[in-house]
Amino acid sequence: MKNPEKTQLVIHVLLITATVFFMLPIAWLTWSSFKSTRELFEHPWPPRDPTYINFVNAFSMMNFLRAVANSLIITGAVVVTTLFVSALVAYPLAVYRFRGRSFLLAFIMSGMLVPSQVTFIPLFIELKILGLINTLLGVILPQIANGIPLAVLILVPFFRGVLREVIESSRVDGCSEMGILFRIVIPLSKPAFIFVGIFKGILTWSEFVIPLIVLYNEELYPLTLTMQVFKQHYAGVYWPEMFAGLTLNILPMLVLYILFSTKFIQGLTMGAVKG
Amino acid sequence: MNPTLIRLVGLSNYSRLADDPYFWSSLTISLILTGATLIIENTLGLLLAVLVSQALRGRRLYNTLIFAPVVIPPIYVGILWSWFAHKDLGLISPLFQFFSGEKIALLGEPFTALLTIIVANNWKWIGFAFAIYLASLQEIPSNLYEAAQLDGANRFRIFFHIILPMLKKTIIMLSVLITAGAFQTFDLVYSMTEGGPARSTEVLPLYIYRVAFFYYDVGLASAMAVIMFLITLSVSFIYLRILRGE
Repeated sequence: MKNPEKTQLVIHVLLITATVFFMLPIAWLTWSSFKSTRELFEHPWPPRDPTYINFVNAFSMMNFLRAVANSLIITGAVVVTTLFVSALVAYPLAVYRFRGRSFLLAFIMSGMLVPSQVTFIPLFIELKILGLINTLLGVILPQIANGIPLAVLILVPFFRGVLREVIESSRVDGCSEMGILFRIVIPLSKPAFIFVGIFKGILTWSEFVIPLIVLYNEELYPLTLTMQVFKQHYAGVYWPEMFAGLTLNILPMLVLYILFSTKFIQGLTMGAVKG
Repeated sequence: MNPTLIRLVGLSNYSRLADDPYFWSSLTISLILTGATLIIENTLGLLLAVLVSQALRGRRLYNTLIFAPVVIPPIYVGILWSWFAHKDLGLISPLFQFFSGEKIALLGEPFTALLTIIVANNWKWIGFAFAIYLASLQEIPSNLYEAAQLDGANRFRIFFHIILPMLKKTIIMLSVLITAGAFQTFDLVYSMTEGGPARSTEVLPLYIYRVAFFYYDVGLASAMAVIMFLITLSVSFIYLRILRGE
């Protein structure tokens, strides 16, 4: 191409502008959370007189550790169970031949087409009958159900990719079907499990509406709901604490993401491009 | 919501729906948000992917930073942008003041509130489209470009006649995901404006939630949910038809 150096310059100017657009709100939030109320209202730029007391206050006002514990319990339970159940569903669909197999697969997939808002009302009624309103289990179970279609969609082609001969010969060696699934098929499909695990993990950690509908006891709130309630309670009063609270919610996640970003993006786009 | 007290009412929920102005306004707002996101996310996501794929240095850094907002939960994105757009605290207001001389409460006016929500939603999701486009671009064999260059094709012809047709499948798949995602936007609006000012940003999911859990009108809310399902379903079918039609 003509004048490659000039082209590179234009490319980098555009990309740096875009990067600033994506990073500026996060940077602004971070530096603002080190400001006092007075300085917050004086100017939007980095603090001249930074203080970390906002974080100490936010930490206790939000009951941050309890919220983290709730989020960890919910996310852990959802991700592990989704993967386990989906593997049990995907294995027969991928390996056995039986009547109605493609119908069953299509039926499970159709779950992905239903917008989550459609399910909220029946879900609430169902959980009420089961006595699961205001329990962590009531938050966990619906999210497992939501996750199964996508997980099965990703796992089935991976399971099909495991060579028939490998499965047959293990059967001849006397390995049980469960043994084949857990000792051979699952280890060979590790990338798919990592992809589904990360994807479902982020979705569960981010989930807001299901806890909003199911829980009314603040002790059970996950981080997302805790932060929103914190914001609603103290709107217009405890600005520095709210800024620090949001930073506490966002920044650790971003740091974790940046540490693993290359693998992370690869893992996420792998599923989308191949799928 | 007592499930034992079921009384069949025929289609009356749907006729009530047709007469409900808030249903129509919230549907319109959801469609505007979805349409705008579809256009912006596809265009800017692809543009950034092409730029990064052509950059000789710093690719990994751009990649990481542009994708970063994708991992932030939408509820936090909403809170963050509601403050970022705040008249006295935010960073947008002083930038605006620099040009026009006045501070602006972006979330206080119907038009700018919806605009801010659209920007915030795209801020979160452009990185997703970007990453998928970048991965698809890397699947295109490079000898294709070289051959086109030797034939004297310029940059724009290469883009429109080689890259774009090769990306057709990705564009359609991504559009299905964006449509479904944007049409269901709830958390972001809930935390930014709660539908205000004067219901000007009340998207359909938010209205359904309100009707079901605040007005306790489960019949009307369910009818809206069914309409929503039908819209999502038909949009998916249209995309599938386009994909099969090639």
